[in-house]
Amino acid sequence: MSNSRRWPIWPLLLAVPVVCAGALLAGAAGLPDWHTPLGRAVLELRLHRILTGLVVGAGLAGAGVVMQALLRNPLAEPYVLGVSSGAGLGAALAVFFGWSALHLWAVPVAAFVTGIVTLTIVYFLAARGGGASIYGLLLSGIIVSAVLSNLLMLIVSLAPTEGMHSILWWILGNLQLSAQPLLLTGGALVLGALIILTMLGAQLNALTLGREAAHHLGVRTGLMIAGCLALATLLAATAVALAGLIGFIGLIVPHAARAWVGPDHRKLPGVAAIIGGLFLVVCDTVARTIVAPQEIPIGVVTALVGGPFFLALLLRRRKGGWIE
Amino acid sequence: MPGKCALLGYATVRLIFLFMSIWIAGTGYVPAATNGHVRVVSLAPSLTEIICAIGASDCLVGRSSACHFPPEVVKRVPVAGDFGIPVLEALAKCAPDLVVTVDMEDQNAAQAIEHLGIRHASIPCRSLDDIPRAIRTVGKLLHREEAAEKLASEFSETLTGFRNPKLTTRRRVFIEIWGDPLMTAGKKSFLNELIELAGGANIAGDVARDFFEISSETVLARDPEVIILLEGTAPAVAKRTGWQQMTAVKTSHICSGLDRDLLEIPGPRVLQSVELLRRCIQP
Repeated sequence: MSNSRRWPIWPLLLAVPVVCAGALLAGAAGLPDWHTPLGRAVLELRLHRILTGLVVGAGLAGAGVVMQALLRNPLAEPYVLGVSSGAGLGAALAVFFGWSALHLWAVPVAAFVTGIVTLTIVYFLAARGGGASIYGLLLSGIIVSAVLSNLLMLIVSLAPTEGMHSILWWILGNLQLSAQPLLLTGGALVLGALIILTMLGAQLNALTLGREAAHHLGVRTGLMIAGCLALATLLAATAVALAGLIGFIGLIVPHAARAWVGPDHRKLPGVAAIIGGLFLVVCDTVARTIVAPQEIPIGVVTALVGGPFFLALLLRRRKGGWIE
Repeated sequence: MPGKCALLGYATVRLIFLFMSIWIAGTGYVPAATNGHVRVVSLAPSLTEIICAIGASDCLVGRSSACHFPPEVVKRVPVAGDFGIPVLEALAKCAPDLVVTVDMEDQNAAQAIEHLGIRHASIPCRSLDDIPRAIRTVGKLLHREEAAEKLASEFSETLTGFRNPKLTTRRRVFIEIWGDPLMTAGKKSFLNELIELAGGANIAGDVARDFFEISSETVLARDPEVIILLEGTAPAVAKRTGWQQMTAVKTSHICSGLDRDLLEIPGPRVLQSVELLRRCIQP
């Protein structure tokens, strides 16, 4: 809708260093002394968390944009097609069979792989020979997701209590514990996927008009849907592998991004990624400072901060409608 | 996402179940009028240990799945539920007169037990001082007052003995319950008391909680001299971002592989862990 107001992107870019600096200076340990090795270690720890927040927030928000565009549904989010329950199941299996004790990467890699396998299953169930329809995807996504969630429940109820907390960690989400090489790999994957999505922006724009309309505009719809789904899954699975299941970002940030630059998918993935990263860094700073030295689960903060924000956005933009 | 919510709820309940030695439900109890043999089901490892330690293992007809000590008794006693969670049918099959718990996960379960005509006593085992009281209470309930009194006063004496250390300096100790997320013990946990008895100062001892998630940077900033791991291994801890600057890591004062049963069950054996902790904490 062209009558709604648009804002330029530069304030967002400017906000990145400002927010990161703020997050770097705030923390349970107060303002650390740069001159001691211990103080530097504290800062390094914060920087690591901030970078994880940026990568995970960008991944989830980017995935949300694609899912909402492909499924043409404002309630779609990265987890809607079962990536989360698949990844959760993979993480739980890794803990259950004791692989997590063998290697640092076991849990994230298991989560990543099962997340992607799940989406592949969902896609082929929906496609059954032909191209996958939106309703077919949603339906098979919901069914596969329900089956996997309950398998996860089965593992949780069978697991010895000692292993439980690791699985709980996956469900609540946490930015504290990703290894450095993992973060670099994840960051590269997210950046790559976002760049490709931005390049496909024009075709995504056509797809939001509907499959048939896109086809008549010369878009190879089947290939496009499969490719974008794969990229969105890559983004979501990377985020989940790095930080567990953090809710809300993939749902609300795409809406915020659309309010900022309009429904143009040549800009949306990038803008959503910046907003998502900033939002997660802010939420994580709140989570680790508000009751310091205790921490509260980040998922709680994203929902508590995001909920009112989402409502405000809804009230402001009610006239314009959600999906333009 | 309803699946996630249900799972979250379920998992949270199970997490609470891990910390079960904590809450107290002030259910009153009435000692049996008869002086006969009491058939008892214990739904907490600490209470099972107490029952056996006062020589009342013949009274024990059911236990929780978390009770593993003493092995020779546990082997022959059937399971009647999980820690603080009775399985009513299995419980009824044990035909007990009395069920003892430190806390019931679901308060309705206490009512359901009483509905079956079985008495229920909730006996707090939260701090070290609770333990002699719990021993006496169990003794009274099972008519083993004499043995209970002996064990309770022995325990109190040992405790008092430990409490008079002439320590000038205390080393800063970080106790890690588990690493993902980083869980430690606060002021209200008996682990905090154990660390102090062993001559250490818990770096999380100022937080008025029992068990809680602490931020990695707090641990780093408070720079512990000793790390005690209940789970995981020293090399994995040393690899964490920034932790290489920590005194405990630099001097490799990381203790792992301790007997967790001694450390985690607030029962009659818990003071044996003070010796283990001393070896870790004191130079």
